Amino acid sequence: MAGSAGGAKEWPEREAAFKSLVGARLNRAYGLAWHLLGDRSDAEDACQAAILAAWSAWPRLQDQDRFDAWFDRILVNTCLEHLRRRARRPQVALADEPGIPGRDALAASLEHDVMSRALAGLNPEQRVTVVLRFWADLTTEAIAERLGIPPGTVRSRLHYALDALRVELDREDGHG
Amino acid sequence: MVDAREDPLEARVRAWYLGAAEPPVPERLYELVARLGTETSPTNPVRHIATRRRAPAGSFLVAVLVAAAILVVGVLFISSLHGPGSLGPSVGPTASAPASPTPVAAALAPYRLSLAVTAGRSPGPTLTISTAADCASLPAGWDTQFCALVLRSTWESIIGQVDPFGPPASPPVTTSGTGPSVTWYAALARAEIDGDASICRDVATETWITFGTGLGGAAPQAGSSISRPVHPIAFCLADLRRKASEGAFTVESPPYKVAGVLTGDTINMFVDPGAVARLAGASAPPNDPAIACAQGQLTRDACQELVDAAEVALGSRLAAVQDLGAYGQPIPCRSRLVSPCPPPPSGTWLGSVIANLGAGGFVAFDGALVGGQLQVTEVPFAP
Repeated sequence: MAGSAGGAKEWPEREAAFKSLVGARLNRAYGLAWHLLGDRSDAEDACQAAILAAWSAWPRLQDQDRFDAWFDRILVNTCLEHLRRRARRPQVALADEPGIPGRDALAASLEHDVMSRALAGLNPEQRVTVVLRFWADLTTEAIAERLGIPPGTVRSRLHYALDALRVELDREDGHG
Repeated sequence: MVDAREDPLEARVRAWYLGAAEPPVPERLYELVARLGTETSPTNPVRHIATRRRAPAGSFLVAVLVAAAILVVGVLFISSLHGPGSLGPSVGPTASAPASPTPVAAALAPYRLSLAVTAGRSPGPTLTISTAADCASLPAGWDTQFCALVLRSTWESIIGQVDPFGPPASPPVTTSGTGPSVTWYAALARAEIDGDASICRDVATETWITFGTGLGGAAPQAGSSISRPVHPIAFCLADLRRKASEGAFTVESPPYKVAGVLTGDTINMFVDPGAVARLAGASAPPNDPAIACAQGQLTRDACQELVDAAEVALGSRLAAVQDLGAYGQPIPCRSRLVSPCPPPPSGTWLGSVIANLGAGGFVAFDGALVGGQLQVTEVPFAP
């Protein structure tokens, strides 16, 4: 515990605080991981790894007000590692169910797939940036803080990601 | 945060995310957080937290607690596939299928294991399991069932008709899923011990790999994606070979509670020394597409028959197939296809198969038992 924030006396409180902070954010964390990775099992693994990593690093977080950005960064880095490993194999997200129960569900799943495929075609850095911007609704600055990159780089990544999405969606929609 | 100047594409992406049906948080994550303070602190290695953790892709046989059943539609049902009134298109799920092993009086084949991790005990010595009584030293329940099932000499004599997504032999303590069927994990373990590559060509294994991240990964869940390219047979063979070369693998039991504390067991399984040689000649076929059996609709045998027949009917087109899905519903007639629907084939309707040929589009088949023989008929299908 040497060098940790707070002494042994404070640990129970900090432990409770950690559990409370993480517990309240599990829904968002799992959603973020799921959107980044496109797979429930992978998202669960990423969340678990991030929680454990955060738990280990928790004594070193001085400012609990920064918890959201701090935890997001751990989770996003975990997901990025996963995406980079996976990048050797192109990912194509398909419908949730292998069964195709009917016309409406099939049509809906195919429409879902158009965007899924387009998003899956982004490189890991672009995908993370898109998810943080459009799903998490974060500002450029907040994304930059979580990714540890300058805001200008965030804007650049978004620009190129949207260009790539536009090309892919036009192609899928039959306009390209 | 929405900018009034946002361009249509940004609005479309944002709307897509808003409309995405996000899966619920797995209960295991809540359990993990709840247990953090009771079993570890930041000064202790977190890896000792005994939570359910999915093994990395490529490792084999890690029992899981996930809602595999919701990957597919409805509950599994068992029916006589070759008798009158079997699996007609209007037949709904009639009974939840027990995860009972195939009732075959199989010979026993001794093997070795050791209990690596369990609550309140030290790791155990390596045991030779020659009879079911030898399993008594393991924690009662899933572990002893698994241990006794693996004694059967072939994986075929262990696997059930509703595996791999059958309900667990004993309910998991959490509510997050149905848990693994013990027969599925025991069958996989038997094949691994023996280096029996035939399990890789079973539709149950292929489906598991197709929708999971690997044989050892968590059971596929609703929302699973196919990561193309998927070559389930090749993947399975590689996994068997790796385990054979390592000489051992681990199996994790579903979690259970001891004195109110959630725990689980890890069992070391030792591979037969002859497994490496037995796997040496095994190879995947040139075409090794993703396979999806709609588990809520078909038994393993029915799916296997439909897939085999469709592959024959596809002929040279098989080389282009990326995915093959078998269903127990008359899919073509309920999908956006060439109108009118073709008449149902004669005989007893068994199921449908849809083949995704990538750029070549889709090909669909209806399968029916005619005179006791499965006949597949190509039907128009245009998703």
